[in-house]
Amino acid sequence: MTEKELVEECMAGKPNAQEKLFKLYSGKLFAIALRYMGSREEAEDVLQESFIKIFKSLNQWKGDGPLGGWMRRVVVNTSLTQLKSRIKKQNEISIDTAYAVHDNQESQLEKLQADDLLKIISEMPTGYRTVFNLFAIEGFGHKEISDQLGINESTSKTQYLKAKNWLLKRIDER
Amino acid sequence: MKDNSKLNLEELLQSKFEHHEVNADHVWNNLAKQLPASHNAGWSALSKLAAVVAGVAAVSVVTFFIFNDDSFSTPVSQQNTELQQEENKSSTNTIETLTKEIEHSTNNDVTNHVSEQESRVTHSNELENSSFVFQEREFQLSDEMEDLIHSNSRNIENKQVVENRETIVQSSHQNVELTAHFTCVPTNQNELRYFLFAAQDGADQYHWSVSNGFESHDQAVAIQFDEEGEYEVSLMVEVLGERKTELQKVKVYKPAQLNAVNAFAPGFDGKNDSFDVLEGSMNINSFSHFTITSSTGKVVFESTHSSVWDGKLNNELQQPGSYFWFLEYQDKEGARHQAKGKIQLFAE
Repeated sequence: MTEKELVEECMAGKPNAQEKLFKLYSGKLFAIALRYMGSREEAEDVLQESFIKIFKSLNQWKGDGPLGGWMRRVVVNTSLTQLKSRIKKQNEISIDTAYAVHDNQESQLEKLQADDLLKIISEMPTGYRTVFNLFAIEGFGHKEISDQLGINESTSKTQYLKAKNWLLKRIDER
Repeated sequence: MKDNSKLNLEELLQSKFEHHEVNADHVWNNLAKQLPASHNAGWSALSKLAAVVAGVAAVSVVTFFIFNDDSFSTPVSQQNTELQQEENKSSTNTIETLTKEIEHSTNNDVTNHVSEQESRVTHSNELENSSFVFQEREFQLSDEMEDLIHSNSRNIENKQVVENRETIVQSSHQNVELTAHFTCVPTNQNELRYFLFAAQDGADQYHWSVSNGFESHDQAVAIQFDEEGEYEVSLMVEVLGERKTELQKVKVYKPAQLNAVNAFAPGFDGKNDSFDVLEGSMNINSFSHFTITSSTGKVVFESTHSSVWDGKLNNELQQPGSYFWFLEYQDKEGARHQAKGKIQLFAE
């Protein structure tokens, strides 16, 4: 069965197809939700809400882009909706004293498994974590992030630098 | 150099997470309950039954009248059995021609019924499904009709059958067509955000009413409570002028949260002398088990009533280093949870 056929069966409301689609993508999407939400419980909620949205609006996926990418966006957006209200909308004095990544930190980072990294990221303060995820891993620019979250561009930059320093400090402590 | 390393960090992280997966199979069970599609499936199966029963009822009612007009008006208790047989035959013939018409019109009715339902179902792609169901309905309908005709010609006086079937039709019709059932799940318990979802698809009207004053007319509703507590949520659903209401009491509480510190220094300056795992915690009702082990796995503290460790075992201060704690506790609603963490013990 192709992905398109599976989607069509899901749109027809066939529970088997829906379960199949879930099993196919939930692992990846749950990892993303965990990275954003920081707690398992909240990530489960996000995953659940995302899949309800996905099944409801599968017809909006036009089949031109990859399905996984579309579903990923739904999960990120659902996470952001949850996180938005928690991120303080304050003007921060931007800091530019970002530490450079030392070689030993880099080799430490390279040794880390995704699961360990996820654990560290999930311990970040919400504001850091959100911006960090969007900038470093999703690859958004600070302008987009500030639009998405309704914060200043400078706040986004500052939060990212702080998050990065926070991460490096944690790497050193290990 | 700074830019270079920054780029490296991001690339490194992206590659780390590119194929990262965490098993989420356990979420499916919960999710499956909330999907409108599964309700659809159950509903169409049931409505199929209802349509069959309704079709049978229509036929029974019509045949009932036919017999009333043709046969019942003539005294059936005639002595001449031949005559009775003849009469039966003739009425059976009329029935057969009539039921063909009836069959035709009933099928039309069913078609209307189905297309009406289809327009109600939001997923238009159910069409393929429904038309299959429809064919099955037709099939069962004619089968049932034949049975009915036979039983009628065999047992003309048995009006009871018809009446019984009618009552069955009415009761099952009501159960199937309309439900005001709904699910309520937290989407973000920390912020008291909940998600309400009505099981009935495509109703003419939904009316949510929550005891905090919130009202809505959507099938699915996201709601944010301001305060913890117990709320009454009622949902009225209207389909074709028929209404049903369900009332549920919903407990709204923030989840239990531990905010244990990750380091302490006993006997150093009088501050942070001991480690209280419940310090700064929220919404924890009680705890049943608290253990601390050293990094070698040795149990250095164990209690069912104290959440505080002074860093000592048998009055002897333990070595500085990392220790691991494990806690079993109950939240406000009485649900059991387990938590674990790391605590760093600093030397004097």
